[in-house]
Amino acid sequence: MVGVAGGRKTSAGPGARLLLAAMLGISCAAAAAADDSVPAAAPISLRGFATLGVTRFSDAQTGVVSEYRQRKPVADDWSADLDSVVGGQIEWRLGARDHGVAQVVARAGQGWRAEAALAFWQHAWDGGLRLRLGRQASPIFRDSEIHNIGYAGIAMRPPLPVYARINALSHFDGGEIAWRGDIGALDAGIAVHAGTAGYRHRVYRQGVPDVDVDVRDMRGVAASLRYGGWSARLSQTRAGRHARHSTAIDAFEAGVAAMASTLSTMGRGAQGAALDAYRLAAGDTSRYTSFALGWANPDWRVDAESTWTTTGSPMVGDATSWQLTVARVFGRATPYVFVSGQSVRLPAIDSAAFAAVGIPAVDAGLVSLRGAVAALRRDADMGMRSVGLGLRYDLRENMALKFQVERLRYNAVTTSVSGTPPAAGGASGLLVGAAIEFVF
Amino acid sequence: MKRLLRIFFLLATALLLTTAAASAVGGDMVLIAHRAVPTDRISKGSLSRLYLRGGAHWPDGTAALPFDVVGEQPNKLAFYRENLERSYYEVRAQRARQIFTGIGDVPNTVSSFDEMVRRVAATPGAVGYVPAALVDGSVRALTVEP
Repeated sequence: MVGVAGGRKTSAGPGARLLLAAMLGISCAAAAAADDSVPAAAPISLRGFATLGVTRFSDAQTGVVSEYRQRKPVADDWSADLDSVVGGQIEWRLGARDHGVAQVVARAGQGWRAEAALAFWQHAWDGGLRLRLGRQASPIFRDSEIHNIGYAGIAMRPPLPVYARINALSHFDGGEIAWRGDIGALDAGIAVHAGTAGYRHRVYRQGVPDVDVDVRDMRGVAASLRYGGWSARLSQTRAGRHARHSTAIDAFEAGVAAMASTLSTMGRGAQGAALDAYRLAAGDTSRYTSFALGWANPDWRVDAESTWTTTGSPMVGDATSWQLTVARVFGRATPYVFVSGQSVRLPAIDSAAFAAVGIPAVDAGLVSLRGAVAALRRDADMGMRSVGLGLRYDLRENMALKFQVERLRYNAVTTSVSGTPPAAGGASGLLVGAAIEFVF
Repeated sequence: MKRLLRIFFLLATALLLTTAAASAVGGDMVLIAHRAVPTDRISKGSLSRLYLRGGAHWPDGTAALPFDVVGEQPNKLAFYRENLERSYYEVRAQRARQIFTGIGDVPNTVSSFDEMVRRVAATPGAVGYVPAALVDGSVRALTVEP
């Protein structure tokens, strides 16, 4: 899969790992001493979170990833790569209006390589208005911000058909202005954000190089309303330029550019322009829209979300995804069921762009390019469905156990271990897992 | 896909049928505030926003500072259920989201209800909840309206 959004590529060296270890050590000591959150008024607070999760997927040919930075898909063996994560956070308050937050996260799926997930400074004004600058949680879809924080969700992870595509965008670098307050009996909030993001997108097939994803000129808005047990959230983020580079893509781009130039010199400028639509490195203008509804009372919780991703690129296509989760609370135990899905729409290949021109060498190039387009587009079909059930059990007020069983049906070859696409109509597998989650 | 949807709705219905088994927990808790707080009543909606979101103010503009007590005492869980209309553990999960995304304030914590009374009495704008037997003249008792 080469056509997804991304979060800023962040490498971390020994310094970040030492910082993480120190923060976790201090946080554990603080947790042992206080057994609960540090008062918000404390000038410096240290906190952390951790999830140890193991999963197994029944399909040996096609694995599962929670995000496309994961080092390898989870297939038919027990693995901690899908959900296991540890994070530490330090918060520094400077008076009542200013505070800074730094958070370091290491995921098993990325070889426990530490990265800075948050690093921002926030200033608040009276009336619920605030400005935040730096690296911050992504507002793209509703649960983008809790990709790493298993304890914060009901289920073991945000549903894969909706979130696997965008989880690598869990943070961005930029600014956000937000307001939150009351409008009559409504608890309302609105935020506008702008920034950049990027990451290295893993491709799991042998011999296919990873892809550097670069998202520039991100702008978006998110609004939320709460009334009693009801909540609604609407958001849209637009990437002005969403580019992808790899040695394979760059070679493909060079081929497209050379062919477009040749066609142009032959007086076939329109055909050359049509070919240009198949470029990936030049970027497209992706748009991510999400609408979520929720309802909760002491015994029940229902969450629904629908998302739309539009790219305008015939190489990446557009996607629609949705999820519905119903949970029932029995004291510490919360059983839940969920269903989710994503469908991808790819426009048919424009035959006019690859039409023969009557010159054997050029026609051979066009045939070759069309084959490359077809191969790259095959990775874009991330259609997927899932249905599952699970149990969250709160062992303590900062610790939860989770068990989850999920049936996945998918079209994509994106995470194919063998490179062999599923048969027509897709394939399916059973994903089972258990996790223990902490916050401290 | 139709089969998957059938499975989902079957499971959802099974959960729905368990409603009768739900237990109702009562609590003998009183909402208290700093004596200078300019009101003696608060709506459930406002109280819920105060504890779940933070950043609220009293009618005179004073910042409202909620206090919470550590532990999982039954009367505390009953307070959450009856006044915030949420499961305590769901609120804990929501607070984890607020803390680790830096998007919201969470209540200050105290180690006991006795300390809650002292801290609320000493902190302008503070609000907390304690067993009725602990309420004294150092704090103002607030009525929670539906």
